[in-house]
Amino acid sequence: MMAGGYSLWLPVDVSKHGFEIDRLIYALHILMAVLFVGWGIVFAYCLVRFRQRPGHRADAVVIKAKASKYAEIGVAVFEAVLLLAFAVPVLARVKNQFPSEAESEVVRVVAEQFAWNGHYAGADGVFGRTDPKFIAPDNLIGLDPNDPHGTDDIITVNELHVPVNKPVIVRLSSKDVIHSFAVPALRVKQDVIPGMTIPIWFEAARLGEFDIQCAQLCGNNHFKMRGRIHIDTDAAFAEWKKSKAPGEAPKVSEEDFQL
Amino acid sequence: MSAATHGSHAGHDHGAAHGHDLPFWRKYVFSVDHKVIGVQYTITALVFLLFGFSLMMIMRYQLAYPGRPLPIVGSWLGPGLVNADRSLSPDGYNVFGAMHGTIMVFLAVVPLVVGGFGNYVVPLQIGAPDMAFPRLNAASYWSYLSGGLVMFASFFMKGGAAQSGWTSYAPLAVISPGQTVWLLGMVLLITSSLLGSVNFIVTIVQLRAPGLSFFRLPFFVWAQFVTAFLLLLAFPPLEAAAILQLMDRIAGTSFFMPTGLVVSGQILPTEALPHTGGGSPLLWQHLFWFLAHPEVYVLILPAMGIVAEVVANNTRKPLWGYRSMVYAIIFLGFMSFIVWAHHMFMTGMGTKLSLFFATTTMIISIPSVVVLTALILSLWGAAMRFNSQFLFALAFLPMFAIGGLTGLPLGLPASDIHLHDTYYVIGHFHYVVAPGTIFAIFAGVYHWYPKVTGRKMSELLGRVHFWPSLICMNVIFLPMLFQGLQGLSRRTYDPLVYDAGQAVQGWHFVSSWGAWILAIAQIPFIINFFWSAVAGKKVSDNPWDATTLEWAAPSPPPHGNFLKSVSVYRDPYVYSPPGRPSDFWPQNQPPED
Amino acid sequence: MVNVKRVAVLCLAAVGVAVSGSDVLAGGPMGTATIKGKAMLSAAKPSMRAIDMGADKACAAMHSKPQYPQGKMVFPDGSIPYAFIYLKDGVTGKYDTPSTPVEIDQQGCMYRPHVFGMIAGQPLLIKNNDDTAHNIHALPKKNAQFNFSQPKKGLENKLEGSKTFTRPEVMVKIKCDVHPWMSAYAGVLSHPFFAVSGKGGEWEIKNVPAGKYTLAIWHEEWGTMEVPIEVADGATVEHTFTYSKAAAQRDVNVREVTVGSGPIARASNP
Repeated sequence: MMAGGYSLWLPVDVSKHGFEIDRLIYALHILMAVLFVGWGIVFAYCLVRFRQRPGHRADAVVIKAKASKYAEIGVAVFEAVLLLAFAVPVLARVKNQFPSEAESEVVRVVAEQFAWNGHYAGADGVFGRTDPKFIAPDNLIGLDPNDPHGTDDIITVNELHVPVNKPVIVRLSSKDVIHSFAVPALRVKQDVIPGMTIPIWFEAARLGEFDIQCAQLCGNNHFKMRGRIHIDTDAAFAEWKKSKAPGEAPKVSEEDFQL
Repeated sequence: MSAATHGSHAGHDHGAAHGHDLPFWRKYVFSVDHKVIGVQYTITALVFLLFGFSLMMIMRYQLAYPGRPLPIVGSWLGPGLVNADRSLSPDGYNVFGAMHGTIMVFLAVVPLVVGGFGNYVVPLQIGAPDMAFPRLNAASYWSYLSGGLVMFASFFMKGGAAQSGWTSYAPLAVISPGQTVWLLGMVLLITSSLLGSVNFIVTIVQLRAPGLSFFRLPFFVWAQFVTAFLLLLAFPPLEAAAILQLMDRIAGTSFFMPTGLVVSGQILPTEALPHTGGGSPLLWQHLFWFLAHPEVYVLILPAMGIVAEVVANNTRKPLWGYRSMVYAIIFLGFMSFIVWAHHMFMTGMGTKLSLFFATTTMIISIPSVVVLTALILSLWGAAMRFNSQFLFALAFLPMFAIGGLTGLPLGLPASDIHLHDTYYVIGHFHYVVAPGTIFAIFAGVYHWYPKVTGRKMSELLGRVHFWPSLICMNVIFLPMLFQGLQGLSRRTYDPLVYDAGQAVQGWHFVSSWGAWILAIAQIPFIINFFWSAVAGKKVSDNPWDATTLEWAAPSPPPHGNFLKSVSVYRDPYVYSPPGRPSDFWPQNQPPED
Repeated sequence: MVNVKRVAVLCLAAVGVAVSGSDVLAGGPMGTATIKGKAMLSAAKPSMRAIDMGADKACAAMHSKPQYPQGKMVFPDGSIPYAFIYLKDGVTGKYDTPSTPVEIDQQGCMYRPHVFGMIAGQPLLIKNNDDTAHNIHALPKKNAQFNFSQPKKGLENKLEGSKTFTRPEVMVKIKCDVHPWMSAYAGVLSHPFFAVSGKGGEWEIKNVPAGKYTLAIWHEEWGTMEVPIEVADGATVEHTFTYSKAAAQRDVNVREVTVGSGPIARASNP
């Protein structure tokens, strides 16, 4: 009955920048362990050594503990190093140093309760205009059918495909509430704030299919807001795009009708 | 549980309220005596603590056994909270999650440490007959109770209780059911805290006994003093924000609702939300966390205060580095106002701001390290008395250490990318608050119980309470750190939906059983709490051989607290002074020569 | 008795015969006239794409071929299904609220039926036949909203009393927020004189008492039209509603905003 699953540490990392985040997490946990064990030794020694017993009286004379000062300075220095040498560079790279659009794959992701809508520019490389008045069951992002740039656009629900070894820029926006676009395997997380378009970027290093999670409570079916991101070879990615390209308007036969 | 029962009386003339000539309801219900109010706060908050814990135990069933019908309680819950097959519904899960957070923070823990312990102990520890403004104090309690009842009633109202998380982020909170009543409740609770904080500040500044200079104050009083400033300065922005959000919901304003929303396929504005547009969802987050980060220190500072009292008393030696601890918490209080946006690293905040808040966050960890180190070094050379309160206080130290240390990866925006909004966060702050603050609360209850009742709690039951609690707390919260490292998002009703959830589902099972056994482990405490009030061992006014002023008053203290006015002659923790036969020297005992 | 009838009608529906509400919902003054006709589109067919269900395997598994939005369906002869035709004005009789529920089934991440009529106060029985979570979100304007989840297969919720739609309202949209393409529309009336167009755009309202009425049609994509109509006992009156582009009034409040995209967060970034 009971599902297993007792993983202890980080999930697989398939991004090019992720190792820097992981390295920081490792370093921090080593620091934490050192401090905890250090305190723990003093703590445990005291518990054993300084129990109340007949003939033993507490020593009220203030001990000069240089160790604490060194520990505090050590922590401060270590934190400064972690912050400046490890955290800042990766943050700056992830947040600020965007690759050029020309050499990247650009995808729009429009979040809504409770789905991730993918939007690819299609063969012409230009995103079609969107407007909420065109939102329909087959057009959840409201792509304007009158905009010629939009006719070749690809729309997906909860499914993204990206090429491997090529920078990917994702422009995140939300239709309704705050969501958070999280792909643990790519070490990517970004809140999606309605009223803003927030770009993020990453480069995948390995093929595979991974979860997109919503990391910010977005309503009753928040837990169900799961997408999948497929990291494909260039050829497979091109093939997928071709298969998704909107074709001729479908012929509806009476068999398609079900009341 | 009664406060003023002794016939003899303090010389202080104290407003209209003299203990013995008041009717029952004035003496024990609508009392203005700080001790009665403190006890009222404590008992109300303990009830809410149990209630908030119960909500979580139901959620833990869904997490351990996703989709399985709830045993027993399933048939008690209304149709919105459970599915047709009596399993917890996603809406129910969100309601319980939001209300667990709200109740634990605003109705249980803060009222316990500030309203309960603060009210009861601070005037006694400074040698005052009461708080500076007794009626304000009563108003604070009644406002708190009203807020609590409003929150509780919201479960039974149309639309149910709030379900947008205790953080109530807009726009979700503006469009979700239950939120209006939540906001009304919050306004009452915030008002209560504001009234209380002003009173604490004035009381501590004005009503200290002769000779009780600031650096002779017990550390607990310092902690309450800093906490009161945090409450006073941090809550007004949230009160304003809560009212703004309320206006967004009921008065057609749009402070937090941006332009261009399409909710559930409907283009806003609609008839239900006729005036949205132009607002900022991030504004709410800034206002909320401007309160809620100092609030974290409101949860932890008084707990440190309680632990410091219990540690000094039971190590039988002065606190190590009392002054540096005081400076550390003043600095902590100050810094806590400029770290709030570390909760918002993932909102798309620029790197410069992220760097600023990461730096302040790293800096604020230093004073916490100072306090913790000082408390551990206080054990050196001690003659420890392992009674129940000391066990809880000792356990606080490593538990708070884990809680504090796990804050580091969350405070650095780069590692936070992976850990933000995962179970790592839940594990982190629960280590601070549950085996941290709540253990300190237990320590405080065991420590001051004889002062309130004149009787001691059972040591045996105390130990039966302590050891399973300590084990269970770790069984519950340590797995959450592993789940977070795997990347499992918090607030996930059915963790099996995600790969990350499947990889760590076993830990949910472990956590849940830990939580249910923890509940059983509280039974000895509940028995001890009530049974000792009538049948506990009667003790003297100062059963722990303590030095601070509250032990100079009778147990329980009468109305007006002290039989004769007290003066202070020395530092708060003069234990085992060299050259004296006794191993403690009370603050109020005049020097012989 | 009513139940048997309803099942029979649903079977007919499956082979594409239009449903007449008055056939299944008795309980008030009934007549002998019949109003019937077709729903047609003379304007150009709308462009449409197959619904992308690829990401939820539980949805895709239920279908052997692509699904299209029901609201955009037009048969080759120009006839349109899923139009709701009803007597808007002129019904004077009082009709009982049936205790038999209207059923909405969630199958293959589509609502069945997609468009249906009901009498105000009639219970709603909502079923989840999919191996996935659905959420049922009703967006009425005059009735009470509801929004709840059915996180697994086999769950049923029966909404009755004040929980169902208690006031006449044409139409109430019902949608699933987990699968945002899923929608259903309920026409809530105070009487049973309604029908939903089926194959060939055909519809039929039976048992209409003699009198003067306003006959109205609603379609999610093409909007509403109405026509005055008079029926005598035993007579059969036919009317064909034809939507041209000009007649269509889409039920959206159009505003010039772009979905989910405000100003770019940081100007330096793409």
